[in-house]
Amino acid sequence: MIQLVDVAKFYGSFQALAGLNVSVQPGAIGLLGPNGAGKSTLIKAILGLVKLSRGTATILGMDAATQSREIREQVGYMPEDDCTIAGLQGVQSVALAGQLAGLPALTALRRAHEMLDYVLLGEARYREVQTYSVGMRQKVKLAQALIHAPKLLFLDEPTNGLDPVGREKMLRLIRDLTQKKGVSVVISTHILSDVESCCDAALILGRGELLVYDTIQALQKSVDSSCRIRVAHDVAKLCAALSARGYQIEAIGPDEARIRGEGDLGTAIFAAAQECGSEVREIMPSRNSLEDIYLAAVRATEGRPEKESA
Amino acid sequence: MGELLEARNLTKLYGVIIGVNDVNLDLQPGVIGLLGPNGAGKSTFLKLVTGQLRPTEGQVSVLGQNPWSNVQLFNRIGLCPEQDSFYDNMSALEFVTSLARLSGMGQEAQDRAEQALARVSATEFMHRSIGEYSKGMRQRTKIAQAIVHDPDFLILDEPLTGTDPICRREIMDLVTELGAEGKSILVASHVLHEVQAMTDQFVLIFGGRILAAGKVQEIRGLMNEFPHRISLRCSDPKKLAGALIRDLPIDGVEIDQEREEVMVLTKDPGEFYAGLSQVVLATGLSVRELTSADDKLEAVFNYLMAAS
Amino acid sequence: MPIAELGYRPWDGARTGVMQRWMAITRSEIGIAFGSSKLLRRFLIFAWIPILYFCPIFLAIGYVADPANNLTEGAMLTEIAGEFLSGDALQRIRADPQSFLPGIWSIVFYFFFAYTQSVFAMVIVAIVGPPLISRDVKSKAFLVYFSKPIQPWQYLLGKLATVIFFVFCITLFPALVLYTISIALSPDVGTVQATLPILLQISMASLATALPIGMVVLLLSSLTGNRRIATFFWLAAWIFGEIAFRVLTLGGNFSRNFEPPPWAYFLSLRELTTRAASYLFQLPENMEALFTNLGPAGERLQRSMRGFASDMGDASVIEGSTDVLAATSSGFPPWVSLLAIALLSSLSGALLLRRVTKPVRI
Repeated sequence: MIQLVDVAKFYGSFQALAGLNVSVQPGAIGLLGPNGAGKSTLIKAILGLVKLSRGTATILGMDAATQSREIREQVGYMPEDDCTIAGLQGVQSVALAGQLAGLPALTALRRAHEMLDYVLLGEARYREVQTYSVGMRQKVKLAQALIHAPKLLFLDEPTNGLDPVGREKMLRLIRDLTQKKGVSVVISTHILSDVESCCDAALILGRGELLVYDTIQALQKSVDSSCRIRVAHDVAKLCAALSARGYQIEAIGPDEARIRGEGDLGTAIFAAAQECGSEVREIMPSRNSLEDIYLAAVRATEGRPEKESA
Repeated sequence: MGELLEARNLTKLYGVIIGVNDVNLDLQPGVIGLLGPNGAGKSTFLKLVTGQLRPTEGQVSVLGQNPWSNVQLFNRIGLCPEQDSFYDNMSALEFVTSLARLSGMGQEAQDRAEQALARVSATEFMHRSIGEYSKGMRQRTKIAQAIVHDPDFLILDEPLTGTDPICRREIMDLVTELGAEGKSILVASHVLHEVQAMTDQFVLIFGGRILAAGKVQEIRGLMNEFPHRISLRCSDPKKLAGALIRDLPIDGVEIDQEREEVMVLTKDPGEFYAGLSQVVLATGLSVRELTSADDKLEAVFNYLMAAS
Repeated sequence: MPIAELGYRPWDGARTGVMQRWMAITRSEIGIAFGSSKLLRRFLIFAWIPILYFCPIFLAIGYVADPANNLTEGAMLTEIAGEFLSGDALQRIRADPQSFLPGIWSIVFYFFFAYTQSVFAMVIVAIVGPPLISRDVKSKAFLVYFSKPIQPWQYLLGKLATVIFFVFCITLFPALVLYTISIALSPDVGTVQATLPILLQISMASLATALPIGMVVLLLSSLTGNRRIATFFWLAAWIFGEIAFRVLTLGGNFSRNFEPPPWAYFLSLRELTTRAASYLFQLPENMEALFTNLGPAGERLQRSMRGFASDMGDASVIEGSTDVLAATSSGFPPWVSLLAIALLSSLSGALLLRRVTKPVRI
């Protein structure tokens, strides 16, 4: 879907992208990285807005350098910034975005209503966009990005400023788009739990370099067979019982522990619990959290993010 | 009686617009998450607590004192506001130092500012002017100015917005650390995962009123109308489901063959968990995963919002 | 019966061409301007008031020039025309209206453009121009535009066309109305044919007014995220330029031989557009032809025209000069103003392109 070959971009001596090589598969991709890692430069390069210093970017089979317009007909982009066109009603600004993408005026207006229905913006669509709350603005921006039925959608911090209910609705829309509507989505975000909950793959950038690209499933797969357990009260008794059976135990908190060992962990835990009268509340096979992966990858290249830019 | 914070019939109206409506709340010292949808009255509540606004009706007391125009109390409270209000051509060090002086520090102001900035890992950039900072650097500077006078009670309004994951982790670790040191922290955030990682105590404001306050599990325990959803995964979910239904108090079961999952609904989770080991062992099945989203803040939040 | 899926659906229709895309921007901006500014709607009406003045003039000239019309029957129109046309001069025109009318109309159209509408154009641009781009600077809406298949020039053209539309609302459109009224009363088809080039002159002069001020106001608008600052700079540039120009050309009121420095004319954007209009309406040639053909009988007309120009503060028609032709072309050759307008517009355009694409390039 997105193919990058040695993609590099320099601003003077500043290296925004340092020769990326990656072939991104369709689906939902989380684009991660510290500020200044080159995420927005990469998105602009893929849209053909930024001229590459080196390398080629091929998007949906089109070359970013020469077919920028064709790419932008097939790609949607939801910017992070406010980006409202003051003076227009919600539905008008979505229809305008449609016309800019080449939809005839009537089709654009018709589809603008469809998109606003889809993103669940109700009667507020007839109000001027400046009067909107953060959540409504995000919905309008998503509708604007979707109106020309793109095959690939870039979302820049789509849940920024949303409250938990708004965030869940936004994530549900993203999941629906990727899983049911066949739209590939690249989400640039700082909130790792959003990526875990709705992406198939993660792509981590640091200092313009590709640090990680893999499916979430593969990333989270733990190397050893271990699991985390939580009990109702004191975990020490259960730990002792499991220890006696030859499992390695590591207490995490007053009621939590990590248990490591071969064979059928579940049965062993229940048997030990039965023996010592503990109530098992949770058994969670170990998974690498995306946060650990991210922190390890980014810290390795940066030491610490000393050169952030706004 | 709330040692940290006590509100009695606390109400704030802006003309006809309601900010906070008849809030009664007692908070004990500790780390507390402040939740609520946009426009629910969180900011108004925080302004009342920090003495920036005067209640229209009712009282609020913080650390036993009335916050309104109470300079003495201000020295015991640290506030990290949601909005940025900086002088762009100052450096973080100058900014924090000058605020430290304002709170009555003399010679030691600069040392304390440096210490505070070091705590938020801002040492590297604290000499550059704030105008050049990224969002994460600005957030860290704001937190540094909130902790520079070593307050007993720290109020953080959306401290994680716009920060990258490394900065998030550091701020969250700092909150946990300060909590362990015995400071009280009221932290407002929209990302429930992050609140959950910092504390299990929360206050939920909705429509200007307190919808719930307490520990996640305790609050969940009060909501009897929603059965707990407990998920078990094993190679033969049908067989497991059969055994669970026969021997344990269960109100409903969903089976997902593909995911090899049994989702159990029960209104009596205590009884269920107590008998679970025996039933599972009797089936001879290997249960590799046992989870319940219902213990998590997110689920409790959703139930509370659905109920209101 | 199937159950319809009412959620998101794809679309794969034919895309519109290049033209519709920038016109969508223009249509949307015109809507915003009309919707958001009461001042604009009021001013548009106000700016049509000069028509009330010029309309009777065109009617009267058209009436008295037609030999078929009885001068005593249409006494009122004769009286109006009598302000500058009577006696021998009028008889000459009635004898051969086709050779005189196009020149006279062209001159009156120049007055319409130069003395009222050019000032109104500066004002209307001050109302509609400043928010056009500064609004997008403020909210960073560029990304909404350029993430769609839109080129920067299409974006700019869309915005520019908005300014041009509003300038046309008070130049081209009322001029067309005047033209229609005047040919409606014209003597015969021959006159209509003879005056057709005036249509072209009207259009060109409107464009020569709208283009440079549109470009400059957009450039100012793109420099700031605050529309008020852009408006302020536009008004300041206009007013101070105008004052400086008036001061530098003041000497012409006292001495016939006074020559202001040629660059003085470049201080006033309005003066530049007026001079371009004078060139496009071929004002000097028309005046010379008119007065040569009328001979001594045209002296009165000449005097009244000069008086009118002087009342309107047209410094290029210097009071007391015996030769209107020389006065209107003083300073520099008339085509220089066109060149200046073209240069100013393209320079502003180039700067605008840089400004507008900057947030996207980085």
